[in-house]
Amino acid sequence: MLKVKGALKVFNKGTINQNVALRNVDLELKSGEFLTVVGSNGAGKSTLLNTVAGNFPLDKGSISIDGIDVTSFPDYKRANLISRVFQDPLQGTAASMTIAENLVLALKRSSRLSLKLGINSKREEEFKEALSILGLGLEDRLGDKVGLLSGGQRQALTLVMATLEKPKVLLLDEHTAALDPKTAKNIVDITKKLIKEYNLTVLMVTHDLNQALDLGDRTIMMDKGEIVLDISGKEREKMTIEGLLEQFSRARGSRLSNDRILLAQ
Amino acid sequence: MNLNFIVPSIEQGLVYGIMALGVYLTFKILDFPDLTVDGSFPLGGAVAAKMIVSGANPLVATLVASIFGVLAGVITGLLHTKLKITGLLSGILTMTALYSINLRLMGRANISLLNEVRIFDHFRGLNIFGRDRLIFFLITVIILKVLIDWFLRTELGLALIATGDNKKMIRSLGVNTDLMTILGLGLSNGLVALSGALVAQYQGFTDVGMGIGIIIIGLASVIIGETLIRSDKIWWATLGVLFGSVIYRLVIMTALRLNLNPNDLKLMTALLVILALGGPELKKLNLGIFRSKEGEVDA
Ligand SMILES: Nc1ncnc2c1ncn2[C@@H]1O[C@H](COP(=O)(O)OP(=O)(O)O)[C@@H](O)[C@H]1O
Ligand SMILES: [Mg+2]
Repeated sequence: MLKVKGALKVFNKGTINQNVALRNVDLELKSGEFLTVVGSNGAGKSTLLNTVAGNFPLDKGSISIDGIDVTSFPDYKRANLISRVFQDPLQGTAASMTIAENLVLALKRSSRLSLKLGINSKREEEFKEALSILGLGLEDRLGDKVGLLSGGQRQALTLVMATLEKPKVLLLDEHTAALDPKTAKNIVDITKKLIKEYNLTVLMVTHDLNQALDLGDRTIMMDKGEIVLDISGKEREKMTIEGLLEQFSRARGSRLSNDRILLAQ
Repeated sequence: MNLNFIVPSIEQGLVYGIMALGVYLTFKILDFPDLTVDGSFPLGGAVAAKMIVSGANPLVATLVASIFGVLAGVITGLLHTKLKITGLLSGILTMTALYSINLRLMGRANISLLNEVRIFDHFRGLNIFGRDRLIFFLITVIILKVLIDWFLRTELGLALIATGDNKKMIRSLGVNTDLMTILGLGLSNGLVALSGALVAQYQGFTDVGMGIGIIIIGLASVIIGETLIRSDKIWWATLGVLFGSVIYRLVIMTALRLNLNPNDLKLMTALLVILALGGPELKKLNLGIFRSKEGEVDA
């Protein structure tokens, strides 16, 4: 479904601040696969997601989604294939617009915008049904401005927006990191529910090693722009957090100090 | 006091209100500080006047003037999105270039239209209570307002609003924000040029300097409108802009009647806008009289 081949991304090329964020990364995701991504701060996890989403061009390598080579496509041209949820709950929605208006735009992710009215009663029914899965009562607030919602509610809405039109690949970048523990748990539950319901192909970055092993069916670890560990199946089932940390230091050939990876409690 | 300045004030408020609607689209909807306006307003006047004195039908001339305005906005949009020049500077560049272009188009600094057939002359049928111009402007403005309200509720219009609200989000939903910015600037300056073309015909002449400071008048109207009608519904906001424009004219006319020096008008308008925009900061100074519940709403 998703193929990243030899991805190289260098920031500030040719300056003192030159920074290789991705070093020849190869990654292949099968349809329906749910991959979790862990790694220390600055390992290149967000950069990996950003290149898949097309926020900036690669220096080398290629990306294809569902057989389509999207390497040269800008972000908005890939949006018909990809949907994503950002870490910051404010980034995924338009605050000055209503819940229904935000959902209209999400509904049009993979089709052309028309000069027809965005909201009609058929769509409102569709939106209510999609929102009801959250159990937050948002289905009764279609006309409310999104700016009135809490961070957790906005993130939940963003998840619904991301799955309203089934994407080929769903990108989640620490999408619960900015929320309080209780809300974060709620959002994780919603995430699981939606992924299962639509059988989505997912790339999820998390700083929570527990979550990384608990969710999904495959885990990779990144460090300094490389994938240093890639586990699935039996190997992953047996994996513990300690094992993960050990694997990491072995792969790197260096000791891992505790602060290299942020362990969420 | 002689009140017969009221009808002309309303007429002016309506015709300049079209320009203010354009300013509303860029400054409020698109969140783009577009200064092209000072050039596209006289551009509308110049194109319309030149065509009318050359014998064109004033309706056609007004339409073509609007299209030129759209092009001016598109150029600002291209400067900003393709050449990555800041929004403010892009507008200033187009505006500056337009000054020369307007002079070229007109061939001289002003053109009189007093003896020409103007757009109102085609709508003599609207002569209710002897107010054909008032009725003409009223109908034109209502049609434009309804069109704008409708457009901003369409899928494309919603994408335009989202572009002004959260570019990152709307791009991730597949919208080319560069195109949206160009579209918004085009529509806005089309309205501004239309207003310029109508103002030229209304006052009976066009002058290459008639755009100076027009952006501030537009902003003043938008701000007065916002103060009058506090609503986050677009339908109300556009109505507010038009009311704002009319009230601005009434205030100006009254001030002139009270012997305000016309040369001080722009100063007064600028002060009004400064007060309105700087209001929140002034309130923070904790001056008792300036304090209102408003200041405490959002953190
Ligand atoms: N837009 C950018 N410009 C310059 N450097 C960047 C940019 N984005 C990320 N980086 C750098 O690339 C490296 C990887 O960052 P990132 O992918 O955000 O790490 P992670 O998400 O794993 O914490 C870091 O050193 C970061 O400073
Ligand atoms: Mg990151």
